[in-house]
Amino acid sequence: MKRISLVPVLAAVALFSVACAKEPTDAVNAAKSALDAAKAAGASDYAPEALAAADSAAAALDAELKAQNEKFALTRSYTKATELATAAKNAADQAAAAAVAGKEQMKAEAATLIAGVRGAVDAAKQALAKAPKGKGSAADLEAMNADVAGVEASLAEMDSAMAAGNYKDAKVKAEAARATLDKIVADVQAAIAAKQGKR
Amino acid sequence: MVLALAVAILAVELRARGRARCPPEPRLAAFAAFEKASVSPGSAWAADELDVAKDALDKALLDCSREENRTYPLRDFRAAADALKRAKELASEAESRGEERRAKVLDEAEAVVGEARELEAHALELVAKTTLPPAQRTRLQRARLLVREAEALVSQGEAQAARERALQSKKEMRRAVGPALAKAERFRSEDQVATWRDWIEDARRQSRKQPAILVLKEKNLLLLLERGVPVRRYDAEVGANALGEKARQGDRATPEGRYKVEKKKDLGQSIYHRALLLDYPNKDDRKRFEGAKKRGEIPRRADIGGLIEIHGGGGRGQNWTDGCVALKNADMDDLFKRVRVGTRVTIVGGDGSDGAFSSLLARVK
Repeated sequence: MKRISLVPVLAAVALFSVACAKEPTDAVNAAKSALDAAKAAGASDYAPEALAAADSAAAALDAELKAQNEKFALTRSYTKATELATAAKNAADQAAAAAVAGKEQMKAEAATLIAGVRGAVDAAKQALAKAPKGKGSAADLEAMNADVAGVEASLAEMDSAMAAGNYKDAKVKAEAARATLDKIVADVQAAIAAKQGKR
Repeated sequence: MVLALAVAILAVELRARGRARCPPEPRLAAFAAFEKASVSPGSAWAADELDVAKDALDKALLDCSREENRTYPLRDFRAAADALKRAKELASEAESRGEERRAKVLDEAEAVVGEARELEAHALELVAKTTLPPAQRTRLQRARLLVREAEALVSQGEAQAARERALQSKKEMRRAVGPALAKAERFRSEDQVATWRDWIEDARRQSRKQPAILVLKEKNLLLLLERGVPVRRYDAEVGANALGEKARQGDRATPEGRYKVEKKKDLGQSIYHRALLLDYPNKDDRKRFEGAKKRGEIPRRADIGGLIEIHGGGGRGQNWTDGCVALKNADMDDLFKRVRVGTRVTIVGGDGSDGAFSSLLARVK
């Protein structure tokens, strides 16, 4: 009986198994899609640190893939690349989640502020409506009404910023408007008090 | 036994030379430096430098991966470690450059915001003296909100947005107060000032015979002249439309011209304490009014108005009347007893010296 040498058989099995190593396309694509999704979710604005970490994980993955692709096909191994792709996807998912949470928080803060501005506009109008009217106060009232109209006009800009997803901008506008309105209302109340004091 | 010892010695040697695995410390340091640089506020101003640092990091990582994929005894990570160190340095340099440029842009933005704030102060100075039409006042308020937004953006380090907002506010502010500033030009007009100076000189001459009143609108001042010199000075508030020259009823402007006290209204005869009723409109006013009507400068159905007085109720610190001149009650009492029916009253915009509007114009220009 002819004896079969074990060495060539083992070598063939080893070569066959290595030659089957393929780039983990699905895992790599999933990592890339997750990174794109994080960016689309506004991670650069709302979760910059998490996005930077995801970028680093993607860079490590790219380097490993390039290193493997430079190698002779039969000697390639994508075990580490698969691990890196999973890590990159996880990092990107975390960045996306942080971005969504950050954006929602900013949106909620801006919406609350804008609602406050609307309330303050109404309060200012009511205060002006109650302000004593007379020959001497006509110019003052007209000026204060015009000031309130100026702030009220900015509400449309806040709404546009909210609709466009520019929550940061909407918040900046709302904060400026609120501070201005509070000053106007205080002026109106001071004017009313002064008028009542004279009576 | 000998073979095992040789392998152990080789392993220790290779590890000592940094050949076992990609060194984690420089790798982590390079990542950390790049991540820090890319999220730093100045990153937008160092895009090119960050690209260079990113290329260096990618190459260093590739070097690491290449070495990790080599046969164990042949691995040598020293070059990769150096590349990682260099990538870290490049990232730190990019961060520094970005911060430098951002600081410069922020300084520039702050300067523009400062200019907008200065223009706002001038506009407020103007509206403290004269009333803007509602639409322009609303526009001014919008412009002022933009200044507040620009200030907030500067404090948040958003230099570019702050600069843009400040520039927009300046533009809006000029549009809001531009017409009023154009009206204020007459306070610097040589012809107009010459006419007012003639009237002032005339009032001075008249006062040698009997007391005369001189009102300088731009300076919010009423002078009582006797024997050619001012003997009393009172703070005076004029029509809310302080820049304007009275053209018709309801324009809230104080007329400019030479008048006489037509009637003295004592306590109980005026809602503003005491009052001196002037003979507005006089012949000159009627002529000017008809001319303006003919030229279509005022509506055909407009009325010339009347009931222009010097009265009490003043001391509000702003021009607020519908065209009268208001003094504090105590000042009105003092003036009231010093004048009689027939006293000459000269009302001018200014006297050509530095007044509220002329100095404001000089600063705004």
